[in-house]
Amino acid sequence: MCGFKNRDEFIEQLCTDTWVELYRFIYFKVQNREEAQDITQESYIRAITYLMNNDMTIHKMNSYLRTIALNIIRDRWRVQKRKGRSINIEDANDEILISEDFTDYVATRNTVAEAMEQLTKEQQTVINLRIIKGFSVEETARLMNKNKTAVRVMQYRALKQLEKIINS
Amino acid sequence: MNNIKKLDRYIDELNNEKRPLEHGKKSYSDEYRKLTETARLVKTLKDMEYPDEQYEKMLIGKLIRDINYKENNKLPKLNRYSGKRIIKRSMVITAAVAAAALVIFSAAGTFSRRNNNIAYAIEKAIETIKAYHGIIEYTESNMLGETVTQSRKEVWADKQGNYYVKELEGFNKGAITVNNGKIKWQLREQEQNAYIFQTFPDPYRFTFELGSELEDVKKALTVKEIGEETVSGREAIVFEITPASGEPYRLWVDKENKLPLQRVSAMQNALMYKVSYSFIEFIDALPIELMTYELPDGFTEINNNPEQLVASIEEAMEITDIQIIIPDKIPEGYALDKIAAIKSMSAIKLYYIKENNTIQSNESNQAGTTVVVSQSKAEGELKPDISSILGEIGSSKAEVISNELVNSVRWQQQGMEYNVLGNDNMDIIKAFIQSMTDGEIIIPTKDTSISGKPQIEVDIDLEAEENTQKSVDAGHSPWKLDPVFVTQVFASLLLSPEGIVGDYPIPYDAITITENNGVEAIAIINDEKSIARTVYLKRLVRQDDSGIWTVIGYDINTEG
Repeated sequence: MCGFKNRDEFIEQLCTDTWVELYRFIYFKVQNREEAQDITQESYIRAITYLMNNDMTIHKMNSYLRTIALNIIRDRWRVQKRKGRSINIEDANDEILISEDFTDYVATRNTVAEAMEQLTKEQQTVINLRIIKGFSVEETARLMNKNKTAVRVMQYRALKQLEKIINS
Repeated sequence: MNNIKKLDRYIDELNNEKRPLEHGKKSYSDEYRKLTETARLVKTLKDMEYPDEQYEKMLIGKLIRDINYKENNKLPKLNRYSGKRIIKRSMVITAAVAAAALVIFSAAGTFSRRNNNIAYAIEKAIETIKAYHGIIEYTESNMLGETVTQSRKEVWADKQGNYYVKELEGFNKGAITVNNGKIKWQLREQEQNAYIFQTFPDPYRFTFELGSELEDVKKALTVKEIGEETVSGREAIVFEITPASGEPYRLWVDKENKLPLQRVSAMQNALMYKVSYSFIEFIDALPIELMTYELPDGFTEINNNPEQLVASIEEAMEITDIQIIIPDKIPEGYALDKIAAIKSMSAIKLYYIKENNTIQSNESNQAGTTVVVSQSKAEGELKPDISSILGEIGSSKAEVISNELVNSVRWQQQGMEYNVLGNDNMDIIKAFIQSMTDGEIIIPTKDTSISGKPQIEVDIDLEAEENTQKSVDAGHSPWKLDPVFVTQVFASLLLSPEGIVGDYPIPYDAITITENNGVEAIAIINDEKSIARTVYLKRLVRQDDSGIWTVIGYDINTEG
């Protein structure tokens, strides 16, 4: 916290400089605003508390915050099958984050877009309407001239197929 | 709800920019997890939703408030007055105080980082209390806002675990229950009887639901400050606590002294419960006159404690006519406190207590820590309790019980039955066992894998299971907590899918639990007509002894 008049100023500056990137990182993982906002806030609380209690300087603040955020997500979702271990926040660096998780947004999106193309036209449509365009089941059913149950079954099968393609 | 519907709801929640249920406490199948992961990946193709314009300002303000609050409340102090160091207040202070005084001293130190701010504050506040006297009120409210006082109790308690409780209102009105560490008794005015019980383990806790208040906060998934409120003249911070299992509840913590003021449960089955102290004072010691046993005039003593205290192990062996193993290397800090013989059961109990002057470890130590080593003649095969985990001592099956009250291991060897039971951690229990046997001690944990996989997997409706868990929590269908009974019902329904009339076609006794790590279990059915031979069970909703068992698969009986 050197260079700042007080703690409040440090917090304000830290947030202003980093929140957008941190929020983007978290949103990319959780894909909903409510949770992304919540985890962003909790990440800062943990980070600042840690910095104050340990009197340390962090050179790569963005990586440090992302590591904390990642641990919070893993912690919250811990009852689900976990892929990785918790990362020690002192070891935070971009390499770890990149190697353990999707942080390369563009590459991920390309992978998904390419995989989508391998679905049937109908499957692509249902995924596009329901998830990318964000229509409700009712709206999607109307647009596709199907009933709601059919739409639900189609989107289930489409995602199952997509998962196979992505992980193959 | 099947995966198709669940996935549909999941997508709706992502579309609405809301946190899906799946991103929290629930556990899901691998297949479903992959589907939700894929749905999120697809959504990355959509433009990101940013917070509104005020977010940055709001975030900074909230962080400054939270961080400053944390820093300013690192070492909370209790209000103290001179003389007896008494704090009196006109109303409300809740049971976590009592909880703490009785239970929490044993649990100091190991709380999770997430919730440590409030937990630390409560813990520090509690540490300063030696004993207290208070009135606890339990009330129930329905959806119409009608409130009924279920009970009122006057309690005196100290941090050694001694207590005096008088029922002022409610079901047992007039009853007085006391445990002074040497003797536990209950005076029932209506019956004019005085019942004597063993002092340890003592399952009775007048604040049982809140006895683990601090532990609950430490273990909670989230602890959110949701506002401030004045509760009967006291300024309080209101926290919403989401436990790892169960419904969220609210906790009012006194702003000034950091002691919990009030706890209100979520509305369940149209009912909501509140527990609070209507009065409390903190004192140095419990009044001797309350803590001394004396049979009141006109009362009859009914002694339910068959234990006879003796002066030496030799004397105990003479009375019971059994030879016992004396633990040779007991854990550091423990000392033999008393020896009891039970002639009718040919049993001897050695009571060890942890001395107060030992080095204080955060992991395990408090006044009142006791380990009891019981030894008796084995009568028949060991039948583990239905809620127990199955371990091994040497080549023998062992019953392992681990709950908020005690850790216990029971096993048989060479015609004797042994039980090591205490309110210290499992490592201490194991250390006692190690001092009695050379056999390998295997205490499974939830991470210990269960052997084999089912040939046939059973479709699970997790939402239905969650509803069943809630129903069991409310006292219905307790058989769901018994893996044998769950197996019996499952196997019987396999034979009679249209329903069971009369006795179950598969008898309870035909089922043996061969593995149980507390989360997963395997049952073997020894019945020719059974379709299933091996049944695989799991605690899907909650992974502790209050969690219901669900059959997740089975192997076909090829012997039928």
